[in-house]
Amino acid sequence: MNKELKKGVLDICVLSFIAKEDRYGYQIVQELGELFEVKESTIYPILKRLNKDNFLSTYLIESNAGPVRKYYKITEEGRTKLKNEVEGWYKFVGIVKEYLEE
Amino acid sequence: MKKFEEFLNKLEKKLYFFSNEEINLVLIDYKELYEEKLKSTKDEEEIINSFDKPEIIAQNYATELGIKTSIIKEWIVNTKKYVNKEFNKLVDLSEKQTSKDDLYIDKVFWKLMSILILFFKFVFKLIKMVVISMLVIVIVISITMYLLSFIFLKINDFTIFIRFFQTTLTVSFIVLLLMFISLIRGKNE
Repeated sequence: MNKELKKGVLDICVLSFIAKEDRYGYQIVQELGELFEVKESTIYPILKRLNKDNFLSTYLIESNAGPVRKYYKITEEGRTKLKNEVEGWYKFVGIVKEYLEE
Repeated sequence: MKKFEEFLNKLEKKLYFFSNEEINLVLIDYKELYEEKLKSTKDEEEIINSFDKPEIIAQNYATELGIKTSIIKEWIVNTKKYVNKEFNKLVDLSEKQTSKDDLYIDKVFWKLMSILILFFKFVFKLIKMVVISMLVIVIVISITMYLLSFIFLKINDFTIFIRFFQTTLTVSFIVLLLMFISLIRGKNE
């Protein structure tokens, strides 16, 4: 997939993935990394930005099996953003599809 | 684990634009990732190689968050942190060494000396690197121009070399000055 296109949809995918359930960093990196062939160095900064913009919040949980895990949780602002972004995405895909099929 | 700690130390230095708390959160992410990957492979180097280089990781954070980076700022922040760390060690030491004043003063002196030496080492390294590379460029350009004038214009005059040397040296000083100004202002790489 085109790098720029990937960059454009990663925000929605990260928000959508976390909206289903709170996730910790490794889970997000694994799932989205495999899906879009992107490395952790791309996903973590996106998580950081979404967190900074108050679309995600974090909390730490002590783990018996390993080090502290940082969980990401979607906020109300995040849900609103996700809803708007998904609507925008479908609209965009619709326009492109229509144009290509002409 | 030693190599991973080195990786984290390097990453910490490269993330100089974050607060200590923010750096810790990033390091938690990488520690978590390391531990998870350790479950599938015991090769420390393989895991570290699977990560991007600390420079790239830090640059991605800066780009994503719209932060301007600069080598000079990075050095200043990391030196400040180093100096603070050393002084905190001294404070701890002073609490333990109140009865041994001579020993304490001696240690303070050597700590301050080590900070001073570190600073001069950096300045010396920087000047050496810049001056050497500038002289090499200037000499190469002057020799090339001398040879070109000799081959194409049949002028065998060594003063041509001297003149080109003087001109390129002046130009490179101006370029250097401009580069230094742009470095201080900080560029978004």
